[in-house]
Amino acid sequence: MSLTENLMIMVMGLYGASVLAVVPLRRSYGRALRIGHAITFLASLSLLAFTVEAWLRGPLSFSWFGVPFHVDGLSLILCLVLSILGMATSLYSPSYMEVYERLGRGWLYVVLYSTFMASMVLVVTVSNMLWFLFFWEAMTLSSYLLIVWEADEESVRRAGWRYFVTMHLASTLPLLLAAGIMYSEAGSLDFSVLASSHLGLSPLLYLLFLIGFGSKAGVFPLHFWLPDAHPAAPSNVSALLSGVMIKVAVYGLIRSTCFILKPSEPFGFAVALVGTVTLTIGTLYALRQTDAKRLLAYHSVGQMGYIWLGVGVGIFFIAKGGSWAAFGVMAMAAGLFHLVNHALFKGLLFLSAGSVLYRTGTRDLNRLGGLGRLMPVTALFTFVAAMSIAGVPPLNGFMSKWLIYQSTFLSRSGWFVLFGVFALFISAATLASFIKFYTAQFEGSRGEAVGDIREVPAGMLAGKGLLTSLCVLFGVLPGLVLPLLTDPGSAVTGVSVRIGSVWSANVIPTTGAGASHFNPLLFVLVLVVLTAAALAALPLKKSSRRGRIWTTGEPVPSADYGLRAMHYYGPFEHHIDWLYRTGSRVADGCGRTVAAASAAYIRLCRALSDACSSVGRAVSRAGAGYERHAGEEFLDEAIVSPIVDIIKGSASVLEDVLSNQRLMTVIALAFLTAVVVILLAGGV
Amino acid sequence: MALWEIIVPVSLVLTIAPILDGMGRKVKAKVQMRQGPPILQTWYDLTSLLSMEPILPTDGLSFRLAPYVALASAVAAATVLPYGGLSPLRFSGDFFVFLYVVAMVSIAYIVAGFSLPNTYTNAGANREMMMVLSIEPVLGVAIGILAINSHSLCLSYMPLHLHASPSIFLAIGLLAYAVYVEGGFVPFDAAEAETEILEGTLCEYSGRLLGVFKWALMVKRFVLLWLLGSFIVLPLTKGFPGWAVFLLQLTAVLAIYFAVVTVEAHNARLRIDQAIRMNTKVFLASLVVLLIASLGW
Repeated sequence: MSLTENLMIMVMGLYGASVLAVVPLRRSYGRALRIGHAITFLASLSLLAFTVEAWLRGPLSFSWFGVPFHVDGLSLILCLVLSILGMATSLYSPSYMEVYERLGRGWLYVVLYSTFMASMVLVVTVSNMLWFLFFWEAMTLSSYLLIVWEADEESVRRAGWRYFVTMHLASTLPLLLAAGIMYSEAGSLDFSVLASSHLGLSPLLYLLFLIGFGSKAGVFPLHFWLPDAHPAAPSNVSALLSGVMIKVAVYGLIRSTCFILKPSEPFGFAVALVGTVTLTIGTLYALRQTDAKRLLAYHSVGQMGYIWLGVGVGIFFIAKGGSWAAFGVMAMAAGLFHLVNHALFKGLLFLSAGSVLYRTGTRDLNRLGGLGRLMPVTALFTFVAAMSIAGVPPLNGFMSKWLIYQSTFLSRSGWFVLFGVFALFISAATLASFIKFYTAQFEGSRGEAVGDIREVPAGMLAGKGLLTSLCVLFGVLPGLVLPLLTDPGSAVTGVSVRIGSVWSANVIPTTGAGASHFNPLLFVLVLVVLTAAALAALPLKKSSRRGRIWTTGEPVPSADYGLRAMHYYGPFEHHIDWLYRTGSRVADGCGRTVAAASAAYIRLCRALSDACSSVGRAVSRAGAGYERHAGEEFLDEAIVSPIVDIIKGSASVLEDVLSNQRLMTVIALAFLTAVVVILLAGGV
Repeated sequence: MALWEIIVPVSLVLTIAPILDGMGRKVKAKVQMRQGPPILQTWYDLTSLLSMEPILPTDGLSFRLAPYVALASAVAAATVLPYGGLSPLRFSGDFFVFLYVVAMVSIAYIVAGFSLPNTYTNAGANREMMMVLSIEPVLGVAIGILAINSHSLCLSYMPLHLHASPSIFLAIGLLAYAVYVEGGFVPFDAAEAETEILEGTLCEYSGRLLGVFKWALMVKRFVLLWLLGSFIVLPLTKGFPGWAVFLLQLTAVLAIYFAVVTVEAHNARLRIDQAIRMNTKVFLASLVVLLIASLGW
């Protein structure tokens, strides 16, 4: 067994260990979180070691208990993201989760967290469609339970339910159908068999993957669940949802349509088009939000659009092939780079919003302000993240957006250039939105919700500091990750492309005459030298006189004299009001369709749940009867009674969890899906 | 890369920008039948501002750093442009990198404006952001057409490899419009409106900080005009010696600036909503140009 495989076993073992470690700690909330997250931190660290090791060793296949795994560049990109976000949230969560102490069940949170993380690692490494779907379901279920963590709030329950139902109708179902079609054609669900069996390029398969992964990724018009669901979760979980989970859908999209099926030009175009519409709608909606986490969730939709745009252009040109293959590889790397970067800065932004929530108890931007002086480190980290997502050089968000511009503007096609124009425009809108996000919280006068507060604890800062430093590092030295990011495209086309190498900061996206280049490290040097020179030549003395804000002579209290978040960009929002109306109508339509379908679906599940509980009652009656009459048994009692005890023990644990009716229904729902999966797998 | 190749253009940009402004004031005065100040008046104003200690309304770091970052960004943007046959600092030759570095001047202006609880600076920042938002698509289409035509996004390569076509002339026109709006010239100066919102963000700045900020804004204007001038001059001067190209670029920038000033002298400021609407109309028109370009004309 190789070192790489051992590392993978260690990752899974540590996630398993975190579950075992916290189950005995049902009584002590804080200790369960600290111990659980210490172990998940180690698991993330092992995952990072696994990623580096596997990258150096090249693609790797192995199987555990009959489940086949295959790890290549594409998997490793997601593993990298998972390990980084895993470390950041493990550092951040123990302090942050104090907010939820009144809800108790710290041990259960750790169990769900570990299941969620482990399921995502398994989704991106497994190489059999059936197991892919199984882990996909585990991911959906654990993320659902984390989203509804604050289940005593009606809005949270509603948002979680919407997420859960949408995922089953618009994600699992299409993927199951696609798996069924593929199975009927190829007779196996192993990725390698599927890839070599030349499945007909049926548009239906592409469409099913587009819907199945699109709804998980939250692209327009299947994004309607996301702005409700992501903010509903605790902020550390929101960071994982927006940072990693929706990226797993991009992984699925590329894995299924480029590696299992063949890349196709019309499909690439469709992905790019969907991406452009998504980035435009998502971001313009975000522009008018004044709830910090909702604003971030809408931006997740928008930034996902950028990723789809890059990946779509990549698929298009990879399918076109010939001299365009290298260009396609670059475009796909651009999309994947944005995937990595978005995970970093959006994770950071959610953690930052969580920090403000932790200290002030609100996420309403209108009621915040002046936090910069009270929480200076958080302010700095948030500023870096905000500038990064807005695409200010030399931060990582700029690098990937820049590569996306290269791959659209140099495509020599009017359509893709138009997509690029929208990407450029929306970049300005993102900037506007994040200047609001930052200044409304950290600058200006103290908001009404801001009391005498101090900086968040060191653990939370450490988690955010890790992400902040990577936002800077991947911006200044993009060559560190670029070779990994071009790997999936190169693997599909067989064309090896170098747009940046590990130790050089210079990035050269295209080759030949007229190729652009950008050296962010040199740029930083220039900017720092120029700023330092300006400061040295025209210094600002410490003794400068302090004056008051000019209120044209009127005695106005400073809190009433500045703009609040809701006042930003009014005329512009008014100008694009027609877009808001149209977008809402489309999203509402989709939401209503899902609601109608879910009503029918839930009726089925209720029936199933009732049937199950009557079976359960019959079983427990029989069990009670057995216990009454088993007094005289001798030999088997010794064997059976421990099992009975375990069952009784776990039943009481389950009772703890399953105290409400809806959760029962959820389990039934998951059960139903599992039954379908098993039925489908009957022939495997 | 010799040191003088960096120092000469940087000091040139820093000196020419205020002189250009002084010349503009003179031309504007002549158009309006006034005597006008001497050409070096802007320099005199600037030097006196730079010698004065500011009064600070806050000790926030972003407020104090913004002017310096703005100046550094404007100058950094200047160093990637072609001067004659020479581009001084080659951290990039890319159009988008240039564009984003120029945009950092606006970002400094906006963040500084929002950093204070002052309605006037907030209004200035708010308007600047909306102006950038509404002009970005026009700029995008212009760059898109230039890229389709020249197959490149490299600033020193693009102007030399443009093929004459109807769409390319229209694209240069769009670029000119975008430069005009981004430069904040009348009637698109709502963000710095003196009479209306006390110069927006600049309202709270004084002394040396005000001087540095004004200098940065002048350098930014100069840099944008130099970009436009280069796209007009370089395609016509292929094969000319470097110094001749440089002189022609300089002449073109002066000519463009005088034209701009003349337009300014005849116009009154637009309200921000009017400016947004106008930019949207130009964007819709520019889509037709993009269509023409993608058909190969």
